[in-house]
Amino acid sequence: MIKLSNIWKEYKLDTDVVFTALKNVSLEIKDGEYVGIMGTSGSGKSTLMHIIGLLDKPSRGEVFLDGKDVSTLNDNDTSTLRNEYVGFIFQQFNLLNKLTVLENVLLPTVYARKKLEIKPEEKARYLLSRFGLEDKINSYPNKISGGQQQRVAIARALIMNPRLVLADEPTGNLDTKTGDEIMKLFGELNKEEKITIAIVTHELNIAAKTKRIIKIKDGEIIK
Amino acid sequence: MGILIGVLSVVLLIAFGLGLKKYIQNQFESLGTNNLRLVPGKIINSGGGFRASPGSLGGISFDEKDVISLSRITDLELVVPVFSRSQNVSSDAKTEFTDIYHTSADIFPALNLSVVSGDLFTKEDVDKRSKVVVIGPKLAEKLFESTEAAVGRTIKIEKIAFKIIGVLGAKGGGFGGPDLDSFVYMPYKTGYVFNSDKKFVAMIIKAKTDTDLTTAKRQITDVLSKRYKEDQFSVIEQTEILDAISSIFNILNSVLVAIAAISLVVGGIGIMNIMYVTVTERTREIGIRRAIGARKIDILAHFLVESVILAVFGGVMGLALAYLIVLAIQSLFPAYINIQSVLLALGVSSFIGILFGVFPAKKAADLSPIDAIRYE
Repeated sequence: MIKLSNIWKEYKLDTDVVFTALKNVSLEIKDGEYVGIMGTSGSGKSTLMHIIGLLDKPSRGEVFLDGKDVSTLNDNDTSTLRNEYVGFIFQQFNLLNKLTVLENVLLPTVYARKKLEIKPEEKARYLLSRFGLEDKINSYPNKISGGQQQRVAIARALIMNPRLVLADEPTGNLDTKTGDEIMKLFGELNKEEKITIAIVTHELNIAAKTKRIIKIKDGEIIK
Repeated sequence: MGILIGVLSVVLLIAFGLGLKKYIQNQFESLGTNNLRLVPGKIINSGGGFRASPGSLGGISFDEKDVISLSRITDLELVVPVFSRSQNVSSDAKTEFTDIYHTSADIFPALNLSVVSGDLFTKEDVDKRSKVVVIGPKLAEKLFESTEAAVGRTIKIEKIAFKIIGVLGAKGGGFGGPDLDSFVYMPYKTGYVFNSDKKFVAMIIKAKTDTDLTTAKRQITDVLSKRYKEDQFSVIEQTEILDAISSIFNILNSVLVAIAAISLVVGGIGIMNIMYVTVTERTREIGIRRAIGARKIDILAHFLVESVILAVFGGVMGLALAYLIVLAIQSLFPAYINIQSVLLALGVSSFIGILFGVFPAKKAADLSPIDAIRYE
């Protein structure tokens, strides 16, 4: 489904100092896969996730989505692709505190440019009740627990029926028990709903719960 | 806040300006229609503005001969000579400084003046040089406590006693213009004691109702040209005076509005600052919205709308406050708010919201989603 081919990402730190975050990275994630992208902090795994999630553009190399090169699209088109193809889940949950749980889940539908096949509110309520949040629908994110917030974030990531769910350290801000519950949820979503999931983490025991581990070190894929 | 004050001052100034203009218009209309004024010198130039001319000061003045020759014009109904002086007028107890009109009995129909108590003076009073006066109601109240009490009493002008035979109905006036309700009207021949040259400073001429004022003007000019040069006198229509005054007011008003508009700009800069702070505070939110699919234009629109809402809110508050102030002072001053100033206030404040919101909104839209989402 998504294929990265010879990706380089360089940052100019100073006029003549260039930091290379990704060195000639090629990888492919197929439909229905459950992948762990593992690496230490500074290994380039977040940069890789940003490029996979179309939040950032490679300095060199191509990104193919369903065989189509998307690394050269303009900002409007990549925004639209992010909206339709990708669901993001962050370590910090990144919910908007002034919106209710339901409004947070519905937020991606606000920016949808195509006519939605789903009934947004119905779908949001379904997802929230599936994640055991039916009584928190009208609560505000800062009034619910971290595990609940992350489940809201997952619901938000799923509302547009994305092809790919990208989670950046989804358990990083949660205790082990809650983290395990979240990971269990990802496993279920992948197994039962065939949702493609990529989880970026530095913890081996988290990565171990996925079906394929891509290890990254100093900007290169090592396995 | 700046927008509030800006809109408040602009709307109020426009309201005052409109009120004043309307007031002056009413004032002129109440002084009778189909009237012309004959004055020395050329005081209104072809452009419609006032012109300072030597002729208007110390130039010619008119006399009874002119009154007689003008009265021969059949299209004219009334020819009223006017000599006026500002003098102290005293009752037994009080003294007031006011304008005294030395004129004929025809001034009352010409200016639509009538008494609330007593009588007007007549042609006989003029011919007999009766020491009688008709006074305005405000003066009557100032000197004698009430309009009724004044009739039959005497006032002294330069130690000469005059009997008050009538008090006029109120016409309104003031605000820098002539305070018509404080005038003293005296038969002009009686007034010759103060006016030894027997000259008049102006004439009020009422044309017959079916006469065209332009025709009347030409006839008057023809008659007077036999005695004076054409640039030594002017025959002015009320509307010409009105136009000239209006044009001055318009200029004055636009200057004031322009000054008030500066506070709108200051308000706009205030909004810009607020929006910059908002954008910085909400950097992370912008990042989140971008990550889930908001385009740059969505973010731009989002912040522009907020900025416009902020500005229009200020504008509406200013407008509401202006309305309350106008309402409160309506009894003292004839200010009013028209639909144009409402639209102007709303239009200008939304324009300012857009103008000063564009830079912060652009900043928000141009944030890199990755940096924004990491922002703490």
